[in-house]
Amino acid sequence: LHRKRPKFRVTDLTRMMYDESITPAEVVRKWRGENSALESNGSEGEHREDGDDFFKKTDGEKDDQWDYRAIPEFDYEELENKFGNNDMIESLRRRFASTKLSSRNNE
Amino acid sequence: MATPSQPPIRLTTHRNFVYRLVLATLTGRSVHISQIRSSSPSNPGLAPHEISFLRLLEAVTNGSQMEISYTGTILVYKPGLITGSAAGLGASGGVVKHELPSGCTRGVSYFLLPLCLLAPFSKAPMNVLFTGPGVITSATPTGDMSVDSARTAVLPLYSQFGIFNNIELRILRRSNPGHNGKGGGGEVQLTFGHQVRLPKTLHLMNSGRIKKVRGVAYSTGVSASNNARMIETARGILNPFVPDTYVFSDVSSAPLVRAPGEKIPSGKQRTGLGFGLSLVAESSTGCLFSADVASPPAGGQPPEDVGKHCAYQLLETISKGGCASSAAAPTMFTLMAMGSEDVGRLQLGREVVADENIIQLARDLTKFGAAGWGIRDAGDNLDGDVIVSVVGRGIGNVGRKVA
Repeated sequence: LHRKRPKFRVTDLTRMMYDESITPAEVVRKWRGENSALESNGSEGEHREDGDDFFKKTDGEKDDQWDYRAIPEFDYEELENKFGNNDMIESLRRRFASTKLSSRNNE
Repeated sequence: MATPSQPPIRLTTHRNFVYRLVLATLTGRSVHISQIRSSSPSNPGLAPHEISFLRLLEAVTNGSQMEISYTGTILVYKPGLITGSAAGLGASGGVVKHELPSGCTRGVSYFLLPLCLLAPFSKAPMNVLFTGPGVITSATPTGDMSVDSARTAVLPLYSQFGIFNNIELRILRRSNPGHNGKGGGGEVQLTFGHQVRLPKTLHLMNSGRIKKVRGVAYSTGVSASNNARMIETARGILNPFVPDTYVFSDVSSAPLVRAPGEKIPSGKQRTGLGFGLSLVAESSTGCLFSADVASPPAGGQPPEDVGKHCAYQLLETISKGGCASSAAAPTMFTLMAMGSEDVGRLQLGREVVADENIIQLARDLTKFGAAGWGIRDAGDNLDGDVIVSVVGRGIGNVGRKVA
């Protein structure tokens, strides 16, 4: 059960997509191959020592605060690092029409 | 109309609230939504913008019934017929005027995008004027896209479904979020004059390559140099990728809204100052990717940062691949599900499908009687896109059937 699953496998998604016992957020996390326990530790690390019941309470509240977003929240510093990187720029280039795929790749 | 004996569809929580109501209206099924923020100690029940959306639904339909429980945590909604701006049903001069309250924290696109989904299935053309002290036309910190992105990145998608005539989104007055992110003073008019029996089946599998970027930089009530600064940084990042980048600059004064003071009951106040940038990338096959960033209501962010963030957001959205961004996907999926009983296909990036909203929408669609989505890997694709197949329900436009 604890072995690392391959990420983004389509069969995994089709299995989980309509399973009402898994919340959509959990589906996304599992499909991305992120460890769900790790994830919640990361975001609520400071509340860990407060015990389990407190944990649930904050979780529920966060759920209540949740609202529909058309544009997800981005971590712009991370994005800046990501796209400041030359390899990333090169791999993104083929999505653009201005790139001549054969000649300008080594530029 | 659906037979009235059908029991309401039972849903819980406020997740995907607007799209659930849109689906209920389109399919004619009544819904019972319970546990709406029921565990919240401070703000239980429906939020002001959700109530506002219910009012909007009531304005553009005929015979809708909604009951909200005392605490606001339970809503029963029985949809009526989508009439649009037909004469005699709340419209004056063919225009439905919808006023948003000053406490509204959501951008007007929160109301516009669902309304656009209803409009093709309406009996008469839809003509809605959003006005009042709560209309925010810019992007908001609550995650709404700006009106410019709605106009240039979402409305053109309807043409792929064979809906393209007399669609216009006019921005009459711009506004950023006001003090504390609440309210604005903008004015937006949506004219949606193309009603169809059924949207065309969509097969969008080739994302093409990005060939141009267009955008709008807006400053309301602040110096126009902010626009120039945003545009310059954004272009600096995008130019190596797309030489064909053009960003329009729109400067307007801040809107005046009524703010009755103690001494001056007819007092007015400027609100909604700020600036922002909307960028839309178009591919050779007509796929659109948008990005939106606006200055935070508290201020303190230089325009260079806004421009930079917006450009990076656009690159991120493009890098996710597929033929639609996550901002446009709900619109496309809903239209596909309402299409004729045929399989439509849409290629999307994995990161776009791996989105809570999309999965919730898929689940909600099945509750409203649509077939489940088929998902498979797109062959010969470097980004690892997936192809989502959606079977239409073939309900289409109830009002058109008689015509």
